[in-house]
Amino acid sequence: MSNAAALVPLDAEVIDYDALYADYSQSLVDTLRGFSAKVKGLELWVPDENLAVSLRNLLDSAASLGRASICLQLGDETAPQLSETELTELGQAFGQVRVERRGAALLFEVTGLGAASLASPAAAAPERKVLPALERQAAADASAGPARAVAVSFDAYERRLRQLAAVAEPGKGELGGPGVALSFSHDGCTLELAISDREHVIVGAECEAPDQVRQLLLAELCRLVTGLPLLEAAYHGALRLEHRLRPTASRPLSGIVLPRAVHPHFALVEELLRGALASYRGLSGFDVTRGQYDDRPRPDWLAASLDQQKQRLEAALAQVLPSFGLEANDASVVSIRYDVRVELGLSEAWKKLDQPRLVMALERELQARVDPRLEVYVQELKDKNQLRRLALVETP
Amino acid sequence: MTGMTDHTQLILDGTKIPWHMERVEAWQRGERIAPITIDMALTRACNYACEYCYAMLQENDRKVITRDVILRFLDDCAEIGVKGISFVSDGESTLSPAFVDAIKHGHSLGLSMAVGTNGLAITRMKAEEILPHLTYLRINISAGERKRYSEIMGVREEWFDRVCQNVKDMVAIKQRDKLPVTLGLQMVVMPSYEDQILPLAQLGKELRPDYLVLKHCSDNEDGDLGVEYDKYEALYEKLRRAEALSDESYRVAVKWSKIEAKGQRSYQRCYGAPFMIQISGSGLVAPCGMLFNERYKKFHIGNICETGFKEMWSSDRYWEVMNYLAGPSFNAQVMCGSLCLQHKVNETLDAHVKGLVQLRNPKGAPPEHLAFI
Repeated sequence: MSNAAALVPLDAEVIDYDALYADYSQSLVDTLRGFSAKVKGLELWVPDENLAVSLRNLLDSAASLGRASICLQLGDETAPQLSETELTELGQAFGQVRVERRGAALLFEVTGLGAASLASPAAAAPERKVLPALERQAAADASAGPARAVAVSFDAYERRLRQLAAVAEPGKGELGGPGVALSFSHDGCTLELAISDREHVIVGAECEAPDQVRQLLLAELCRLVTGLPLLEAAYHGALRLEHRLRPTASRPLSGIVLPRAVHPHFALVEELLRGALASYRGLSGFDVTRGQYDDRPRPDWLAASLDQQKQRLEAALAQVLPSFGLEANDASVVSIRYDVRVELGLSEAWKKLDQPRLVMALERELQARVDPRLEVYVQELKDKNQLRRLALVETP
Repeated sequence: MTGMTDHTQLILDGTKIPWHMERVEAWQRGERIAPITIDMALTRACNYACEYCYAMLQENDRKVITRDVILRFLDDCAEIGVKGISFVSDGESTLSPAFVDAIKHGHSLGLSMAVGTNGLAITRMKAEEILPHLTYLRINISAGERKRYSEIMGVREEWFDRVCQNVKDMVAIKQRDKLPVTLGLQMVVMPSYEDQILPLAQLGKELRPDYLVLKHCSDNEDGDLGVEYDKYEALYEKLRRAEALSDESYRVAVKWSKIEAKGQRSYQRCYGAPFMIQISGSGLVAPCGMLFNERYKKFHIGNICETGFKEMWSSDRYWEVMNYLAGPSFNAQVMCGSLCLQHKVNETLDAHVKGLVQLRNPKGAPPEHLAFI
């Protein structure tokens, strides 16, 4: 709520400094554009908790914008912050000063603004007090410093590989079909690929490794990349594989997880895929470097009508939300755009929760239960400014 | 110190990430690295109403960044190894009561401090206070004529005169005191502002800042601002003529790499965020300004008005968000707005990770403003 109405208008004699200050502070929170102190000549003013600095800024604004005089009333609580002598000295840097006590309040008037020499304006500025650093939090101290990366065991990945191998479809991605055949070896391992010469998609993949673990790893890689464009496989194949094999939701490194840093086996995967791409470039003249592949949702999701998609999402929400301590109707599907962007409306109940973390967790759940390509967003918060000038016509 | 900026050393269209190889290598090893640069605002409020303002798309739950909050934040930044803080982002930081103290305090801690502003509130008195503590100060001015300035930037015509005077004062202070601060002007070029390219380049020649940079306008992933990237090509000739107005101490530079990209990205993962994060004028910490709106809640890390930045940076949540952007579920080509702040860093790191380029410590003298990558 603006206090502007409480301010003395331009042509009035006295401006209520405290109301002006309060209005400014509130506007910092609720105004986006067109923000200004609402008195002519004070548009450049920036207040300050330090009254001397604040008044100095105010007089500077008034003088800079050609205002001849200004008269402020400093309220009961504000006035005692500066003595009459201090006020007089402050004002004299800008013009002629009159200070008049009115009960506990003070009237502070400066006339002839701009006439006083400000050859060294900084000299007129009271020394700003920079507050000392606050005490460091013990909890933060305990976790200070960049966490070092540690060597990651491959054991958990190996267990996952064995699980996946046990349920793998036999024959998927085997060589022998049409396409450009190529082979690349690194560190005793070999990756053989067949690439469709028009789409540059991997249509078959096989591998050979000197030990069982790497054989399992590369076999899973072959299943993963079959059907992907070679460019996507070379650029992100190792990343996809590491995520597919990652045994739990926890990350293997404390910082950013690049597969090469997780384990040398993933570096091997990168080398093989990059080598395969280089071979293919040499064989086919393929020279595209900008990857644009984007996973599409599953066919059953794409085939569903919008209503059916909403129903599936709402059913999943009803299953998931109770585990977040929420009711089924605490989130609703507002829209689904571009087949994958799900916009949710969240109830007031969410405000008590850690919304960012839960929205991310909810996305993971909907990806697992409905379609892995879904993206979850919440409703846009629109600013209250009337000057919103967007390309799209918006309803108020 | 000569007080004059060596223009050959000022990178206005590119990234300085290769000069930070130690941090890049730590990042590649999976270590937690502090951002090199943090771009932030001290408030969401602004006294202008620019037509192209991206901030209208960035609304989020507002909190007030008080003096205590920002000073403590700066302490944390210095402690964990942040190198540069730019007050740009989604609000006009000069309106914050904490603005001057924040600059002084950051500088006293050894942080490089910078400001992007419309320049209206930087009177001569305020310029005297802040310029000695700044690495650069950039004025956003998207027209070279009063009337068009008023139309494009949504303010009274006389503010154009006021800002020009403020620039003149800043140039005079810099020259008088031989300050190392770089003073710049920036025009956000929309195709419909073609008529202002040359008048502004000429105005800059008269005002004598160190440079004028002409840049694209960013848009969100839905194109809500209606930026027509295919129309930029028609401006190329005028942009080149503007560049030709450069002289020995005034450089006009076009961000060609971004303008010519036409809003397209060569990469899908966002690797730049851990090196360069953004903080809203509401105190919200997010990997990128394009993710400030409540719509992108899943990417929000915390708020410096409520939690210390060092604590936030040390948290699993911070790295969960950063890893999301670097993971296979994220595709900046379809999930992000165009030409974000991290774009050049992303482009370079992505090419490095893909093995398309090999980043190495560059030879020779480092460029200016190294803390702003």
